[in-house]
Amino acid sequence: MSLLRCSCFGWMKEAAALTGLAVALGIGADLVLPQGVLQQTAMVLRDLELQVPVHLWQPAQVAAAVESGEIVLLDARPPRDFQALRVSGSLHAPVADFEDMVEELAVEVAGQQVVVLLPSEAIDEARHLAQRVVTDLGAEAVGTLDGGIDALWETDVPREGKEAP
Amino acid sequence: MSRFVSVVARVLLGLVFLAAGGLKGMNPHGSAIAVGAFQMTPPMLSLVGGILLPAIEVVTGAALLTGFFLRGALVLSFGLSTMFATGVVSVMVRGLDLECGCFGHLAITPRAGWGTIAFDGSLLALTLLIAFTTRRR
Repeated sequence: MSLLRCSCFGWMKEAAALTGLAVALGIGADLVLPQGVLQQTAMVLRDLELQVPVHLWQPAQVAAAVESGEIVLLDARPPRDFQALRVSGSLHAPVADFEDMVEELAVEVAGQQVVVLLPSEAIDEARHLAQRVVTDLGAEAVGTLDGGIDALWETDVPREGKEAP
Repeated sequence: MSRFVSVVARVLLGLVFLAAGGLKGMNPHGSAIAVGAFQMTPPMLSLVGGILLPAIEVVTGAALLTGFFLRGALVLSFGLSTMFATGVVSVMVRGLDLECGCFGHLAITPRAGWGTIAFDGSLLALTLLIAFTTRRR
């Protein structure tokens, strides 16, 4: 038992030494780097405080929530895609026009639960837009769709548009 | 044989930690935001994590590659892998959508999910393999 304790002590002592080295390296590197966090603490803290949890919705969950009217869908695809096929009742706010539509959209989504719809390849854009749906539009909660909007066409969600069956 | 396995595992694990820490360390702001996105730590702690996490990964990777303070590096590797896996499990349980941020902001960054847990599990397995083979020598 005491042998084990001695052995563990050696491992922990080495780990503590490496951690000390890492702390010195981390702080030193941060001070040297032009975009170091310590030189812009207030800005980084503000960005961290503005972070909003974005939930990941499954297509079947979204279809059920649309049916029960629990959520508002915000379709951010270009107009051509939206006109071709869209979920019935979804709001349209193309990414490129979002800035100009903030006031108009805020009326519709403030206090609501919103899911942002974009193709799966635009996941970064969808996450970014989702954050803004809460910070700029005042939505209560926001989510993105697993598999993007194309996954939603596999469900029986009500749809309309030129390509609607 | 076990020595050969141990060295290969050390090099592999060391390179993974060096790459992960190096890529994160080039953008400390992004690293802090990535820590904060897990919604598990208050902003100040996320900021500190953004500075220290890449450095701990780099030091761990370098120690694994050189064999200098190897036992300490294994303790840190075990701690980091367990912490990452716990973070991803927590994200999945809470149903959050975020990129894992394992290697900073690369062009293709996987979503925190089963794939990331498998990756962290592999790191943990390599750590235990090195610890086991090193102690047997």
